[in-house]
Amino acid sequence: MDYLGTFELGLIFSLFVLGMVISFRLLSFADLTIEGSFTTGGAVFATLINQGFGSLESMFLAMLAGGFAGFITASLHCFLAINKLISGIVVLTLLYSVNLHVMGRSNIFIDLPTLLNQNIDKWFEFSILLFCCIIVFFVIKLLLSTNFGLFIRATGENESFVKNQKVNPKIFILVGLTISNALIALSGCIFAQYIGYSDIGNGNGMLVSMLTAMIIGESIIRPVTLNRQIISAFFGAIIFQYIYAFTLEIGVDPIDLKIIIGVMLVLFLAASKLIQRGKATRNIGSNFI
Amino acid sequence: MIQLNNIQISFNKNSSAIINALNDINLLLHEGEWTYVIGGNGSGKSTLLKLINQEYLPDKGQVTFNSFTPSEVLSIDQVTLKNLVPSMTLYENLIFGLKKPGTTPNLRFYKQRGYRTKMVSVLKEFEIGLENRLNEQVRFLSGGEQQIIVASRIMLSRPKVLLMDEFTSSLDQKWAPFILSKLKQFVTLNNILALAVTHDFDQIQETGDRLIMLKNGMIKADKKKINYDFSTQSILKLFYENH
Repeated sequence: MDYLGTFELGLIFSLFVLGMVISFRLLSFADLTIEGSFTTGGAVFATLINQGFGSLESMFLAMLAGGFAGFITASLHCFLAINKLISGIVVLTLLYSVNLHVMGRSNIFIDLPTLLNQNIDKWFEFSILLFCCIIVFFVIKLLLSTNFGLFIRATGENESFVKNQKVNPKIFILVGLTISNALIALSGCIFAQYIGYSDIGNGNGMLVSMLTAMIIGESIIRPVTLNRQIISAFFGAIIFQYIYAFTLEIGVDPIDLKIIIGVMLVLFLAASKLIQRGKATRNIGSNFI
Repeated sequence: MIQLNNIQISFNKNSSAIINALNDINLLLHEGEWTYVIGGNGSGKSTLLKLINQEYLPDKGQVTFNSFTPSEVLSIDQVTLKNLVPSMTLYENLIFGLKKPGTTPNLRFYKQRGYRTKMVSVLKEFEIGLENRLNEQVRFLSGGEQQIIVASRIMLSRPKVLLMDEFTSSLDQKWAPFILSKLKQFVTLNNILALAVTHDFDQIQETGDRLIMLKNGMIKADKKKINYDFSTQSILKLFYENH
């Protein structure tokens, strides 16, 4: 098993799980857009970099595109009162066509050098990824530690409480989903750099995989404080990636991987529900999953 | 001062079963005065509070706020946990009391020593040691303790108008008068306009300055403590005479 490579993928997906924590746990919003915005991140990045944009510029614009997708989902829910799940499904479906338009075909290779596709030392590449992840996690931790962040959490748990503060909770749903999807698009664009191409199917099944990662993280680090909730996203993604690599290592047929991930999610969910049964939860986030 | 002129609010307007929740209400409410609203179920008590909190707009008539804005109105729900964020700590819940109502929250860190000092000084007034439990989640507090956190949040936010819909209805005979007496002191000291709905007539004797009785959306009685006997028996008599 390539331990370092697996860790690197874990780091890339930890940004995805962090985005999911914001929408699923803190905002109590089962946002299905994320599968699409992961692909959008990679698609926008690959297209822009091939057209001569710089690495950082392309990453920033990819995040912006993902964030915009989240904003549209939130707008459908907040302004047109469309159910949360349906809003996500609609945008996810729209994104499929949008991503194809962006790329011009179903996959494109990244021809120009980026931060991760050059022949650099593996440990140097790992250090870049780890550094980026720590910065992103730290920035999100800082944001959630502000008065604004506190209102994002309050909106997810008790929307009428926020209304009673004479503040419109829609602001926090809009901003929260934008940030969440921007993070997921960032994960998507780093993933595209890592594998060297962007494919329309990059996001397929990511929701269930990352949900499993989130649940694994929460089973190991009980999210009873904000810091623990954030850290659980980080370790959940890495441990999930090692389990994933291990299943391939022991010779499981890759076409069965989705079945294994699905079963794993069910097992972890059932186990966490069984352990919690009859006990008052101390977790800070929404418990609807 | 809040002035209500010829207020009318109706529900089910497009059907034959029209409900006049408030009907021709004329009322003048003053700062520093704790007014209780009583009446049977469906008499319009909660509608009156929601009207002042701008959750309902009148079909007819006018609500006028003098010397303060609608964002300075703080409304407290009957269900305690609706007034709190259960998974958040006492500290995090009390932060909401320190924010100016109606303003979008800023990007300042909510953990600040100055905030903690303010919270501790308010919680100390209740003398049950909650100031030492600021990092506990509120969902693990007892009902009475949770109400104290709500009361502390009111005291920290210093609203100009305080609306309470059966605020202490879930509390026992020890906690309810204790919390209300603290709030009464606070309301008098800070010249706050307080309007509360209750079914507990003992409370009115203890803390009320004025009593309004509603029936079918209309004011049936409007009594002030200075010229009316606010004993429980007298209020019960008034209630059944107008019920």
